[in-house]
Amino acid sequence: MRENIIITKYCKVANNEIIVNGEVVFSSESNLTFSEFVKEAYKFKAMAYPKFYKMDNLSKLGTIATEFLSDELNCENVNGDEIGIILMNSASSLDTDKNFQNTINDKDNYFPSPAVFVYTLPNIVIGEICIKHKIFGDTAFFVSEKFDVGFIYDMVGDLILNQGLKIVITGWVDFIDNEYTAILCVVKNIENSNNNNNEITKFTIESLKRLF
Amino acid sequence: MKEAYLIADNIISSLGFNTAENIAAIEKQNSGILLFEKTDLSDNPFYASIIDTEKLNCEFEKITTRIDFTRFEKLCILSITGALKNINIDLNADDTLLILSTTKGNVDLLNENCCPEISRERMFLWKAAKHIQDFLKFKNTPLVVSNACISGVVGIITAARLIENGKYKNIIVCGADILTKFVVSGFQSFLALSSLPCKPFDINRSGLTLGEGSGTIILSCESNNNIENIVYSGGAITNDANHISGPSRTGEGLYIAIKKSIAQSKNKTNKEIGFISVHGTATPFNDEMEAIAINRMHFSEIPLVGLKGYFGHTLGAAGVIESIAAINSIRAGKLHATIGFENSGVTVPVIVNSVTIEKEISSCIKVASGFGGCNAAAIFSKK
Amino acid sequence: MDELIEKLKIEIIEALSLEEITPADIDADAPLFLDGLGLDSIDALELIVLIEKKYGYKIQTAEEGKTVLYSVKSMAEFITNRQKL
Repeated sequence: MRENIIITKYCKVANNEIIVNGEVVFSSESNLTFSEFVKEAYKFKAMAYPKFYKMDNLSKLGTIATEFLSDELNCENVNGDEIGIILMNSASSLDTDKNFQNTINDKDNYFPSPAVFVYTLPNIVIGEICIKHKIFGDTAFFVSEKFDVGFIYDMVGDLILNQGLKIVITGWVDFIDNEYTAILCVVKNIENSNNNNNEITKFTIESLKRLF
Repeated sequence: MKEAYLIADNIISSLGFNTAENIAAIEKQNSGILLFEKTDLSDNPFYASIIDTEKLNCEFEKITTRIDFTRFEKLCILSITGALKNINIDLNADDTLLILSTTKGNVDLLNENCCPEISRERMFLWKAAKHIQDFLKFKNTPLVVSNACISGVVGIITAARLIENGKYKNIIVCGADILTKFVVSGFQSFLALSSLPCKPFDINRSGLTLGEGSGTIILSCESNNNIENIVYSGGAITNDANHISGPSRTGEGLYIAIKKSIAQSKNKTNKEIGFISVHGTATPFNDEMEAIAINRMHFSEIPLVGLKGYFGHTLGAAGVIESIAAINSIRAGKLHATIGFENSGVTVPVIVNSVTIEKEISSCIKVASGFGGCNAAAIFSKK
Repeated sequence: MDELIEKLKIEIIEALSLEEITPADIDADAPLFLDGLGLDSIDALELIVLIEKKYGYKIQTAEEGKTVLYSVKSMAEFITNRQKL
């Protein structure tokens, strides 16, 4: 039932700030580049995950935002294949696409990089989050000019009501030319759940519009 | 829940400009893969399935004389128009949606020498989709799926779910990708390309062959009375949670995807599933992973059909094109041949179908896997 | 040779974004891909690009890559042998 679907936590990463449930939990000086800022955030979270440094900016953005939500993912009675991720953005992987194109533009300096090429797909950020948090369920990446609230509401609702998922991470993760925004939230089904859930708001079109 | 009927389709590839031409070539076991010397794509000669540009432009001019379309957009428009030919769908209706599945869209526009007259804004996938929407006069903003090599199957699964939930009456799913230096050089840097036409599941397979094309499949809550009814009867998308480029050694993600799809479907058993349309890229690890996942499902007796030997790997288009071929297989009662395959080169028993044969088929599973550890499975069944 | 090994260590750290590792952490004789550095298949491919980009020698196949990329020392030996040709 739709009424049993709630948002338990949300995280926004923008302007060198990380905001969880509306409160600033981490920030760094506004003149830092994204790379510098996200490295500070990584250290603040004491992540000890050296793979983080190898990621492209889109993946770093999605991974750091999810890190601030991760306590909501460790639930009793929820298996990895009952958790899903539905993400959306405007620029797809264009920022990294440009970096890869630069490795093949010049005939005399032609060294296509596999480590860059692998990130020229927007869904790699989902793969990174799945690896970090052992998520095996439904995942998909969509590209849209703006956050498509109606579609996300339908899609995430379907995953929970009809496809057997109990938790879905959904939101917006966009990075291009050093401009970035991530807004992610954790959506849960509390039907048959004995846990004390930290309900922030019901999962409705109106609440999604407020968050995004 | 409503049923999602598969009511019309179209394939555009090096093998032809409509579904019938492509299926005829498959049934005759003709491959679209040739050796190319195209320095704009690769310094060395390479095997690929490439659509003849003159033919493409000639076909496109039958639709419009406008020239402000990229190769990718032309492939989409041609395919969508072809699929709509014999059915009556109001594109301007509130309950009609276009889903565009692509991995790289207009990525060739990153090369400044490519089509200088085209606005660079259309590197944004939603902007390219908008351009196609405006030309074809869809009312709703298209939904764009970009999920690596499973984009096509994700498009179909998403469409089916939206129809089952009554959100739309008709959804047109178009999967398309073009061959570019970007893609060729990337796969070369992964040492993933075969020096010969790809050999799915074969002992001598050594990598994939790239291709380009588009496929369009139309899903509707209403059946098309002119053709035998086939419906989407289950599907799932999963992640390996293992590695961003290497397939899982245990086939975990694909295994879960097939298991979840089977749980939804009315057709469940070895006998009811006529064949599995594999992803079969012919890289050593992909085919091994698929074989393991299928084996874990105890589906080793179900024949496997892989079509990369005809079209090459058409990335975001592959899932749609191969689903259309699979649906045709069910309707025609013909099991397609996996060309390139001779002797099994995976470590668990599989039956790879290697010649076109007649067979009564009531349902099949289409699977796909891709970078990012993603997997998808969808089941199509006779109604 | 020792000089080349030290140079390679720095180049590897940079090319593979091994932020928390210093040249002293890398044992030139130890297998690069067993555990220690946490390297994977993409890193291997990236090292093939590194050798071609910085030294001009092409590794043609994955098989050849396996031998050359066994350790920093084997990489250095491959480069030195090619330089002698």
